[in-house]
Amino acid sequence: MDSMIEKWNLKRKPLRDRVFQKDYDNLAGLFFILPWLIGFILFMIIPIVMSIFYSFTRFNIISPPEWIGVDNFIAIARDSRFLNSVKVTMVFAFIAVPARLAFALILALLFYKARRLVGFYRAAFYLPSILGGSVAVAITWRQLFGTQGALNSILSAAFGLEITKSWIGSPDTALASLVLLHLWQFGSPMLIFLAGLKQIPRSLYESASIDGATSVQNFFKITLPMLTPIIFFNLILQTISGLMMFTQAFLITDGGPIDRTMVIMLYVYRHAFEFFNMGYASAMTWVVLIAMFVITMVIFKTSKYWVFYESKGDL
Amino acid sequence: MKNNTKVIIALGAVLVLVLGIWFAVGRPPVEEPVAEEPVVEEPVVEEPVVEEPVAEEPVEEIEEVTMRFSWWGAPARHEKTKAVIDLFEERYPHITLEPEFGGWSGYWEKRALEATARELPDIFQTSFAWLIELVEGKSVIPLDPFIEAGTIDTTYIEDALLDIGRLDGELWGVNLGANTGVMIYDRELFEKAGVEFPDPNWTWDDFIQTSIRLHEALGIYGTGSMPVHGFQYYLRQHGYCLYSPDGTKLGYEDDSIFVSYFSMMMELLELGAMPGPAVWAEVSLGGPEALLIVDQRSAMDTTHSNINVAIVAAAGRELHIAMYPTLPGQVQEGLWIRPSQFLKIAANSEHPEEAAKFINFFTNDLEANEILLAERGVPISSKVMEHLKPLLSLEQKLQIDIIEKTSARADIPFPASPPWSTEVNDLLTRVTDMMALGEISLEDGATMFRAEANAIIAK
Repeated sequence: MDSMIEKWNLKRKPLRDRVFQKDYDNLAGLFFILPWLIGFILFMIIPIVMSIFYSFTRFNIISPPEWIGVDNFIAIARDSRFLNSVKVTMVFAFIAVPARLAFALILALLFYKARRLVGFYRAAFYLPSILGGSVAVAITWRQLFGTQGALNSILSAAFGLEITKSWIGSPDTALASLVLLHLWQFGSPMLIFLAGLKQIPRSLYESASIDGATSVQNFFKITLPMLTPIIFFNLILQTISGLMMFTQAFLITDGGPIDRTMVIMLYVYRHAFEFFNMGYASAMTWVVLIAMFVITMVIFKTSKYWVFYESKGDL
Repeated sequence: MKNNTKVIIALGAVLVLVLGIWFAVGRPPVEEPVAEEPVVEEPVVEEPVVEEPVAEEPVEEIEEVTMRFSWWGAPARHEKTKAVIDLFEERYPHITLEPEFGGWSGYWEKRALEATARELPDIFQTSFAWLIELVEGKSVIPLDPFIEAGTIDTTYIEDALLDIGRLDGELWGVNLGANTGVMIYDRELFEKAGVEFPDPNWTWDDFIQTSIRLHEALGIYGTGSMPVHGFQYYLRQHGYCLYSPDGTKLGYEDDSIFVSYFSMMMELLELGAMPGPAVWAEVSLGGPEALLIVDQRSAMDTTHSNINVAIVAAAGRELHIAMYPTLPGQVQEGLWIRPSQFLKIAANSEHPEEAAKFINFFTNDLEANEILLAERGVPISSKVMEHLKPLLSLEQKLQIDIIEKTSARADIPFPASPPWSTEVNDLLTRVTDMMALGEISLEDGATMFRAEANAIIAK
């Protein structure tokens, strides 16, 4: 018996060996993620820490940074252009994000039923999202909504007038054209809604139909409440990306006529790479980060009042 | 699997990954040309730097040299410059130049970042505006030693044209061509409207009346915009400058000059003879091909003299250029000659000698300039100019002609722009837009500009 235990090593290993075993496994895991970890540290952690440092300096790249304490932050509070860009970004996010989500939801509902060619339509409607952030689309958008663009041609043909308004160059419509572009890329929230819709148990609809519910009641009493976790998820993601919007504002209007489309990230870019106020730009990014954190926290905290999780069972 | 084996496999996988990345990154990065129009990615040609074994006595070593050369421009310039590079490589087979080119937008951002990293291209094109910053940051080397050694031949170059690149007496960059601001106009449209062509002594009033009459006769815009750097030019005519000589504040005190200049702009806007900021924005984002005169949406436009070639190419028809309007009773001549661009050598270059050879080639070689044909501005070497004259097309001859006429009149040089000039120019654009859109009055615009410019300078 003892010899068998000896032979097959069936005794419990001494504690020291057991602990070392675990570390051995952990070590292997560490090596596997090492490439990613190196990249993460080099390209994310270190620049983030450096930017905290820079936000307390005046730094124009060519000369070494000069410590100025909290001056940057005070200057930000007084900067009317910064406050304007906050306003612009908020207006943009408050309009574009719900609009995009609503649109995505409507289309998801349409595609929920298996109709002819629904697979094709889903792919086709998802396409703008893939193209969306690209430079080519932005330049095309600029052309479409410019003085000699397609929109003007269509409107001129429809109303028989010679319409040459520059939709992206006019202060009142510039932001609207950016909202429209943002709205057009509803693909990913749409797919997520679609997945969420499929998760709603059919039994709910069946019992509702027995009780004689109309489709409108179905929507508001079953679909929407059951979707609230998905809406919540999409809301957080879309709000963050909406507040960070940059490419379209940069390429299409470059801050827009008299700063009407100067979103925050574009303003930061301006200061960093056109005026070379690196310290100031870094300080602004940190202010933006804190603000977005606060906004996200608010959405999270209020979520318990309107998001219904089946597992919790209440509401 | 035994634990030893697991760790060995993990280590091996990591090693493969790291080596793979090493070899991928080890080759020089391919510069993605940044341009509005689709540009072909330049294939990277790298030749290994081969050092001949150093002998006892000084022997001529043919060391293979690779350098980076960077510039901005429109496709026409890229083609010509690349042809010049090929010609240079034929003459100096041991030198390989890696071109990096793209549009104007984004060029300076990249160079600024490279300057911090000390990774500037060996030879690079720069604008007049960055002279101070590059010198202060010690990013470029003085070129006087090369001139003294004869590597850069200056026998046919007037001192005055070279001196523009001097700061504190040292020469930091070679002027690639003389340049000035001009009005470009379409004679055909003028004739159709029955309006006289601008003459060398036309005044601001003439300019306004011409624009208005063109607009009334043809229904298009009289002019695409006010003259480039127009406000600065107007200030000069009054004897002031936008920046004070020491670069610490605005160079003018009298806000009524601001108001009178921009009231001209408002007059043209209100009468429809000039388009508003919405159109300007579209044009500025589009490059020279987007100027209104190209598709006859305006009869006049403003530009720099060296860009007229690109505009004529885009317009596909003959266009003429004229000097900016004069101010009756002007204190001094507002016209200026400026270098269109400089070629500079980076301080971090490992081959300054070869870089100087290239600059010399670019400036003095007759064949090279036959290819370039004054595309960057009028060549500073008189020998080259004489050689090129018979070869030039109409618009190029016009360019040289106007530079000659302007240099005869312009005697006050433009001072180098202080580092805060970019932000102040951006401010001026914004204030101009606001006034043009009627958001603020001209007087408010003048005060706002002054106040915010001073705030920027104070930072």
